[in-house]
Amino acid sequence: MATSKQVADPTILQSVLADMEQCEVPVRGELSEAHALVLTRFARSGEWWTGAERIAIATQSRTVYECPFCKERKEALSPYAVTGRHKIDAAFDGVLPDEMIDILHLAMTDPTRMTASAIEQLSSAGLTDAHYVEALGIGVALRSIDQACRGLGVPLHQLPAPVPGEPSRVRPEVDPVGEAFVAMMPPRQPAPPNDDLWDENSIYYGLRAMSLVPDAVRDLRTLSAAQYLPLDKALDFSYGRSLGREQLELLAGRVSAINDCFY
Amino acid sequence: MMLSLSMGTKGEEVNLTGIVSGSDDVDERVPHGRILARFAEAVISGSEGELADARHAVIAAVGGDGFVDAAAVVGNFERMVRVADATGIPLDEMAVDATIELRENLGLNDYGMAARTLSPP
Repeated sequence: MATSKQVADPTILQSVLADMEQCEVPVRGELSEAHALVLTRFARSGEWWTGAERIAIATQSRTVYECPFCKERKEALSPYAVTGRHKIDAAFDGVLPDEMIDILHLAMTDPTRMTASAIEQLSSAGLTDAHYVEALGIGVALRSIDQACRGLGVPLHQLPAPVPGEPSRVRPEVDPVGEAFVAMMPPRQPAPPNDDLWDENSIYYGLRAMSLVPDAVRDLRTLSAAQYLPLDKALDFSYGRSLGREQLELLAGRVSAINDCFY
Repeated sequence: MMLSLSMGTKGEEVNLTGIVSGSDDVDERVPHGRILARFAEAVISGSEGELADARHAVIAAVGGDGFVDAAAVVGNFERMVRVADATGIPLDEMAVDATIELRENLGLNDYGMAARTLSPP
């Protein structure tokens, strides 16, 4: 299995380390390095979005929790029963299509009411399920980082400036939509260059869910390894951290229940 | 399920009610479980004051390194729940059979996502 050898931008890493130094206890370097690496990736062009668009997506994904329209929509019997306009960071107004902003807000604030048809309707704006998966990957990665920072009592990391470049626009070989709302790579060891995504011991839907955009899986693995466990150790109950495994799983279960997540 | 399995490897059972109902009901066989669950609740929906109190309680109970682990895991699963729900993935096959009793006992089958997660589109 190949290994990703990306490293964090040194300036971004220094900024993350400065944030972590504000914690009242020492924060392990592995966590800072993972946050810095994912922030570094945010700034670069991805498979379907430019660096500028990816930073706009990240910014939007922070704005959703202060969006009055999202609050109104979440309280409605159906999210499609109300109309309105989302809160948008003025600096990024016009960078992203309205359709992407709308579905990103839904995915972040009310994900249990996401539907396959909502994703399909992105095609009216010339977008695909891959655009959605990449945007979702950025939003959830930043949520993961931000909530860890909130828990630690340190500032949210500053988002980096975008790096110029064009998206690769490479769509991997995927199974047709059927098992989920989005197409996924087949449940077997991927061929190079994606043979680092998982191996035969870690073929979980939770990883395959983002496989339409392989770098989104890499971000997920990077953060899981630093914030929880390396995913190939998920079923090795002798593997723990300073907290015991049962304490880690209690936290995981309680967070899932608060979010009404069945998975 | 993962909590049950991890306790099982120590030869212990665990009551999972508090996972759903809240920190006051967390089984005390999980060391400092109530303090940790209260911290998770504070990160997700608590005020700054509640979170500060919960933070100090965790540090006092499990130490600085354990506290860092706790904050990191809460963040991690704030991501995982959104990945699962926003992509509509089904429950992994091994978990479907292993959680029948668990889902019934905790009322998880009443969750909005349950039907979809057990029977994908």
